[in-house]
Amino acid sequence: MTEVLQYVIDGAALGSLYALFALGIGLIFGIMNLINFAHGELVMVGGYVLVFVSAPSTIVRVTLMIVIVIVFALVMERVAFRPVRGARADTLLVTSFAVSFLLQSLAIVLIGALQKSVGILSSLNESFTVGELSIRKLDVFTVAVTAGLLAALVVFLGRTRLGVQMRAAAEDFRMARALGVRANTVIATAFALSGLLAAVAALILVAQTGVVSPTMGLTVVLAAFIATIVGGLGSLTGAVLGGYVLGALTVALQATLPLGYRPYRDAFVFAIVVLVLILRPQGLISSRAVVERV
Amino acid sequence: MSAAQIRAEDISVHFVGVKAVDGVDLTLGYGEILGLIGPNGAGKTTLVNALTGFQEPTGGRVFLDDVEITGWTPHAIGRRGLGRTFQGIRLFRELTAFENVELGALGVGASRKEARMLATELLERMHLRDRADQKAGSLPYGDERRIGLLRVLAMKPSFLLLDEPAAGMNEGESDDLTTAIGEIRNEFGCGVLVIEHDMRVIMGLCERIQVLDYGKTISLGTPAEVQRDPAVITAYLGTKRGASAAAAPELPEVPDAS
Amino acid sequence: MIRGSRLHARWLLLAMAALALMLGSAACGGDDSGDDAGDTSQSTEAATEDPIVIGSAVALTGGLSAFDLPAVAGTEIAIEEINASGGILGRQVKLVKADTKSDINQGARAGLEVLEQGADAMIVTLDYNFGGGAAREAQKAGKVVIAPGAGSAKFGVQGIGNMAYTLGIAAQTDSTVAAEWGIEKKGFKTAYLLLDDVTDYDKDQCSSFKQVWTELGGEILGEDTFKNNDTSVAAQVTRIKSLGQEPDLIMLCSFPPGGAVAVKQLRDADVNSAIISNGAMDGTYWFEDSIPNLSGFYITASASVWGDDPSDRINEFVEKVTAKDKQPQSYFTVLGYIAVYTFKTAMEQANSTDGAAMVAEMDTWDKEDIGGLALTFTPEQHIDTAREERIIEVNNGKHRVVDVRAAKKQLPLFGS
Repeated sequence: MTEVLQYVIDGAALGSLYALFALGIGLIFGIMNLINFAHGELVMVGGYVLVFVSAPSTIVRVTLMIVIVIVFALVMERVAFRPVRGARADTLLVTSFAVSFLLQSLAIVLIGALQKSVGILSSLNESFTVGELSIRKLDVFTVAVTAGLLAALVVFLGRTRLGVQMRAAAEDFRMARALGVRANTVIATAFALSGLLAAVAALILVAQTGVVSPTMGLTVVLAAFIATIVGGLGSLTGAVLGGYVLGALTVALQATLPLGYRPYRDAFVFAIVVLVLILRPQGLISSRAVVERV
Repeated sequence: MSAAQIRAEDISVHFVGVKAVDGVDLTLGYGEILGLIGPNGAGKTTLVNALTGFQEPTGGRVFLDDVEITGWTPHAIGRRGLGRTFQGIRLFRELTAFENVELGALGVGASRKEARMLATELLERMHLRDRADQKAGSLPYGDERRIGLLRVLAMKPSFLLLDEPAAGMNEGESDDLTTAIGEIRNEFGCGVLVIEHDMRVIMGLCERIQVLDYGKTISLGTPAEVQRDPAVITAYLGTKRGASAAAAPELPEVPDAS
Repeated sequence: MIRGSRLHARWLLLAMAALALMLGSAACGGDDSGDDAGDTSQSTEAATEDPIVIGSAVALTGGLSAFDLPAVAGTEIAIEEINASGGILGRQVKLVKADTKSDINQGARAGLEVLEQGADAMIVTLDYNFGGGAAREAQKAGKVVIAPGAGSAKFGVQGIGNMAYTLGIAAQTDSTVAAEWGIEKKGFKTAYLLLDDVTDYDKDQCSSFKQVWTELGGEILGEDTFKNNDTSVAAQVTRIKSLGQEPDLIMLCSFPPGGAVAVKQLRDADVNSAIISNGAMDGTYWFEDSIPNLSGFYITASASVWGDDPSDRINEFVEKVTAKDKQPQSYFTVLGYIAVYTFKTAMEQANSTDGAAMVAEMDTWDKEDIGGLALTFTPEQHIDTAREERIIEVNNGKHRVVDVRAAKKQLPLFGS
């Protein structure tokens, strides 16, 4: 029983991280129909900022990192995505792919292919015990921060001017513009938010793994991509749900597959994902926005 | 005619190989209701797109109260007082009825508080208060229509451009709509441009009617004048709606850049 | 709805294609089995005043440059040393480089490029798959080719041809040394296998370790797998913690960054077993900031770059690298250095730069002292299984050699 609970905690922590990844991708997709493959590189940038910026206090270091990643996201939107806004879906996809590849290559050239180790939030790596359960503080932090960010996002989207406009734009961009919604403001805000999500994901990821490498964004994007597809492209609730489903599935398969099959864990995960998509082509939570706009 | 008006001069919109709009002039004064009619593919929607910034005209200029607005972005034109609807209602279905109306006010720069007050007031006036927190996607069709109108009205527009507001309505509903549009004009004093296939709506509502065919104005005048114009009879009124629709398919909407 | 889902499917396809592309560029591709023999005929004996050219067809950029660049640094120092003391056979030595860009398909091109610049011998990327392309070109041209760190016996007579040698250690040898050290020197009884199943090397290492460990009477408490790009091995850690008994030794068959993630998460979860891994986990870069006082971690390596190698020659070399550049992060630097001395010794013994003549000499080497390392090759085996490996311990973040031993048991290198 203890073991099962322990696996549940493992799954929740991993799922939270995946949900953070997926939200960043889902947010941008909802607004501008773009699967931003370069989202992973925002996480990478966050990781490297933690490597190279040393500040007297962790709070300063982390705040600085978040600010830099958000600025990076805004620049990415301005330089790479604004010129192709409204273009066909494949054009957008190829553009984001190119940005992703460019940033990875840039990191290898400027910093080197060898990964760097980072120490951040090391005090959270201790565990505490509840009964027979041993719970890592970082896992609690991860789940709490994800929940907090989600709640903040819900409030932002539901209660603020930009939030309401953003939801409207996500559903029907053309109509929203006729109603006086500023396209540039809404899209820039979405990118800033995705930058914030990427920065927080970077913090947790780096605290958990201790390493930063030029190709780390790939893992992030792969997880996010699968989570958003499973959850339902264009739905933020779906993205979060997809993240938790993916995390739970990965841990459950790792825990239950016989040794000989464990190397194929990801293949099983993908098989289940495909099955879900056959049964529900729109993902777990279907979004009208996709149906209408694609 | 007063100086305060929409004035479009010699508007052309050419797509590859197609002159969707070809040198059309249009004026719309405050408090006036103008009908824009013509067979499918005549260029009505494209012309409205050109007026509202959704389609950059190939040629010509658009003035709003003598300020040139050609080439402005849609939201800037919206803020300037030119509100429009699209074919179909296109409410934001994931948003509540209240939020849909509120959006219109927010879009023209109202504060959150002002927008809420205006939305509450408008919903009350249309007796839709109890629908406020319902998701727009779950509203009955008639309410959907009304919310769609309120949403534009919340922008407090000086001009209202309605693209086929009565599409899909039965006779009773379109009569109600005709009354509502008339009331809106009287109450807000705004100029209204209506694109509509339903001639009962057009004839009952409009002071002037402009008829397009193949991107050109073929007639302009009072309903009675237009009805008697032989050019109109040949191009439009003489043929059955269904037949003309098949003969001249509607041009696809062109996706907007930036 | 139908329209929506069909377009949705098109979307998915597109996105998946893009993803496949991205993954493809990061993962290792397959290898084409080239022609084995190749003609060893023409060796143009240059005029004595012409320099001897060593071609380096390696990843100067891209992901693999992390391993190749340190080796190139060692190569450059060896050439400086040799030129300062009169060269090889009275001729100066010149280095020419070509970049494979870490692309498996660029290997052959890079190999041809250095051959065109007159390479008499070649150094390639330290991996059978990624170095194989260039190596086959050297084989065809009849030039001796060395992969400083390829850990597969296929990089030799069997997979490339008789001109190909690796200075790396086979996974079988590495794990035999690790198992024998654990049982005989440390008196460990229980072990656990944690396999990152991305590379053949790591798979071979874990399976060989299991065999030797149980043959020596040790017990395997359990085994588990993970992927190098996993961000969390929490489930694997939970499995270990649920064993009821902490294993004496965890055999970690992996490489950074995945290996680094595993070590960190094991230690964070208070799993205090000794952990042993292979040379790919050499260096401080992967833990210095994340696990600054790492202890109880061990690797097997051909040489120590931490100043305490049993060979003074190697320690001197490391000092030289550190003075010139920075502290080397792995013994691959040493192997890049030794590769040049391997050519030098072979050319001097053969009194020629002819590939076939060099091979004839090298295949007779039995613990031949080359630049501080004793090398053994036979006509059938171009990977050294007799090498005295260093067991290096990381204690409180510091490396130190704690044992030097060669594998007693010789596992078959092929077909297990």
